Amino acid sequence: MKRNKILFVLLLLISITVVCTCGTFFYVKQNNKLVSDDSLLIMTSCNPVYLATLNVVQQAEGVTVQNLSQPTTGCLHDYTLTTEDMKNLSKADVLVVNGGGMEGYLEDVMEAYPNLPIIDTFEYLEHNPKYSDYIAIKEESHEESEVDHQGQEHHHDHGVNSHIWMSDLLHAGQVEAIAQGLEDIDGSNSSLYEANSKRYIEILSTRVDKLGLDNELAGSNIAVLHEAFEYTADSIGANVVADMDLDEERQVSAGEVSEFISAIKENDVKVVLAEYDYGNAMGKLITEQTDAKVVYLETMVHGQYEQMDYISVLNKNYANIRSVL
Amino acid sequence: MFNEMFSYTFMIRATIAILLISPLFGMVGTMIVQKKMAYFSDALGHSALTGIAAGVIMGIGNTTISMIIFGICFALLLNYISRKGLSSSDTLISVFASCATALGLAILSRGGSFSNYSAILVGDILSITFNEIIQLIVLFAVILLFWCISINRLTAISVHATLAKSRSISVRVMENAFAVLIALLVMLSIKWVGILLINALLILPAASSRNISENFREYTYFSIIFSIFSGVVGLFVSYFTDMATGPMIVLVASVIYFATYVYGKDR
Repeated sequence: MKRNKILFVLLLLISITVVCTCGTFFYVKQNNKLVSDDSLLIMTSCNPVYLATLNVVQQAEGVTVQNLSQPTTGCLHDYTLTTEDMKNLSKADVLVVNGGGMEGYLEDVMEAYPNLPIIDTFEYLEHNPKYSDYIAIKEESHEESEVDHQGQEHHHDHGVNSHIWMSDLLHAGQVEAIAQGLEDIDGSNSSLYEANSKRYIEILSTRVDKLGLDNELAGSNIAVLHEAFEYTADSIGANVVADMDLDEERQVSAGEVSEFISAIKENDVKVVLAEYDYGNAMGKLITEQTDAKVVYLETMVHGQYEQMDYISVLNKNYANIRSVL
Repeated sequence: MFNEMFSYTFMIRATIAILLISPLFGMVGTMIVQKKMAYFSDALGHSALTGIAAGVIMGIGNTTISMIIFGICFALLLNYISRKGLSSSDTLISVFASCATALGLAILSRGGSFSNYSAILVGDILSITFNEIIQLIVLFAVILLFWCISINRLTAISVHATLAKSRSISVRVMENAFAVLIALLVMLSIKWVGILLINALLILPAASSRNISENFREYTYFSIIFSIFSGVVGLFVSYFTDMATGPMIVLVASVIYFATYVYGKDR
């Protein structure tokens, strides 16, 4: 009996090992992404900096740009790195990040790969007088500068809104930051990076079409259900008079909702900017309770985008706002 | 394939961590299952949130310390109240666990900032640091020592508390010491395993082993083997398939449980 039992346990463990090995082998075979060891591997932390980097390194030989896995839900702050990300980071020559605390895992990466150069686009903007005035300050900064379970400070908050890519002006600054950072790291392509960044900034300034919203909504009051859209409002010159940052973990109190609705009514808000996934329920409530129109916009955090998608997403957002006016 | 895997420092550290944590889970899990304390350890896991919240409020830099202190107090309080017998222990544990979780969530979600702490729900063994491995080695030594000294007494209590008392075993002291031990194990490994899955890792290997064991020695050995096996296979599969490690370990442990259940039922 005892021998049977030991045999059963042995067979069970061997079977699981065989099944897992075969399954893993086929999975790896199907999903293997090979990166040449000779090329300069630039890892990017999120879609906006990935798109900016793609445009900066365009036509550069021996340069590979790879984005870390993107979250399928929620915002970037609560994203944790996958094994694939860790593997890629260990081979990377440079990591380009949005910064401003957006990447909650950055401290872990810096600790694990102390020699990996990091291009922090937010830091560049923060120290550049041309852009620093446009960075939005968060009201609740004092509350959120807390410590996590490891005793490390969360730099996400810093009292600033780090969704800087939602402003085309600040995104142009991000492009500048990436180009300058890459010029320092890869001197052989520095002139190309500089030329590409200038060309892309020029394209941004000509092809982002605000459809006259910057005239029509300038000075008017707007409410947002995601802090990223403070930059959208800012880009068209509107004032954000009420904001509520909704995501999948945000539990909103009744007091907050009533305060938000009162602010919309008192300030004669006509447009509320929201992200569909997390703002839909609240959006319906606002439409019921007020005269304001709720517009659902993209934040570019989820999904896969290509070279010029930044411009098309921004234009689509502006077209959505236009459609409710 | 494996050469490449171990060329990454994070994988070496994660493998060491798994080899340290999983036998502890297998070992302590046997007594948790034996003493029908599964709900107790689950409640402890959920109270980790309150421990972090307490640390944040008191401005403690390293909230692992506040988690441990809170976990120990919570475990002792649960033991004390359960012993009073005013209500059934599962009701009491449920009330305390809900209360502690709600308190932790309420404090940590102030200003909508809970997302800063959401990583602890699923855990992340890949980001374990060298110093944290040292902590796990110390924990491993402490639990092993306690186990060697107290296993007979704990087994006696789990079989018949009154009989154990008649043999001059201090039931209260042993139960409290075991509760503190579970609190230490849960709080020190929760960051790597996650609140949602920690109980599964404590319970599944022991429950699988119980399905097929005929004596306590077999029960412990099989539990430790299943736990280490699930941990190592789960980690390796998660590495190659790019899936989260904790859930993968639990999936492997679940397969073992169902297989042993079928085998045990037919014996």
